[in-house]
Amino acid sequence: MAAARPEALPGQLRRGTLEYCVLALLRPGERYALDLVRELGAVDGMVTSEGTIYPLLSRLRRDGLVETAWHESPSGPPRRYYQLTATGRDRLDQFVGEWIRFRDAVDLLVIPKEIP
Amino acid sequence: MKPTTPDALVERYLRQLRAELAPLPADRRQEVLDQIGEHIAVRRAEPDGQTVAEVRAMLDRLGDPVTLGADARERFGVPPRRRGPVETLVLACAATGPFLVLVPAVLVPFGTVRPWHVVPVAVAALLWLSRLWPVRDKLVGTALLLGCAAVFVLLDLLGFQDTGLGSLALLFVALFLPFGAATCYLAIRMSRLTTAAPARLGAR
Repeated sequence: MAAARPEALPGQLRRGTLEYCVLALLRPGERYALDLVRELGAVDGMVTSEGTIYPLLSRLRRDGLVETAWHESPSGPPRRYYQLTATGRDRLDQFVGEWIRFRDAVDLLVIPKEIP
Repeated sequence: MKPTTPDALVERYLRQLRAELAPLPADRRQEVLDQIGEHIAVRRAEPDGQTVAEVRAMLDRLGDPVTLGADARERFGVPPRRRGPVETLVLACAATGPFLVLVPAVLVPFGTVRPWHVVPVAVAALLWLSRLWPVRDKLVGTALLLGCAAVFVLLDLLGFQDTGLGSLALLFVALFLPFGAATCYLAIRMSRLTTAAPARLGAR
């Protein structure tokens, strides 16, 4: 829940990382936007305002990291599906490598050492 | 007015969101609005998207229009708008409007140009010079300011000459209410438009 205490994790870090979480969800194949939103929403601490995913997807599409395709839906108008482009996949792989190094470095510094 | 039907809730939500997304380039704004409109339509077709409470909860999860607007502006690199000299002048004139009217009105009681007609129109004109407030805000601001002039035109037409206590009270209401309302409205809108995306976006 949104507690009154100040946020320790900088918003920019969270926002920047969310981008790659979206790309990662697309790794197995194309997805419908609402399914992406649901999946991200189900991960605790990831997204509180589901709507913020839409400007992000639009931005990723304009940057050429994802592309969209229209598919018929069982009910209602056709739906826009998202999938990774080759550039998006490269960017994601590059991020994963850097993230692991960064995460390990932060862990090393901030997690208290166990006293034997 | 508090919306009481799911349709009214959704309509109000999308209206607020459109206003918050106003600073975005038109194609990006439309894309985001289409996507969120689709999200709402799909969710409302589901079994748990029927009642007013369910629709309200769904919109809450989607996010407050102000938050979404700030987030989208940041995502698309639209810088938060800054308050400039024009905006300061508009707010200062609107806040001191009643005095700008009263002082010349007392000093030059029967001038050809009536300050209670000129001042609201001048402040409204200044408002349209600003690049900060979107058109919708300017229209509301103008309507409030011209409301002041309109009351005086009406009083003139009715041949209102009385200087008793009642007319003084009316004068007070006619002057302070529109100017005060315009000042408050524009100041609140400005503080929202110039706020960068909240730091705790996406935080839980």
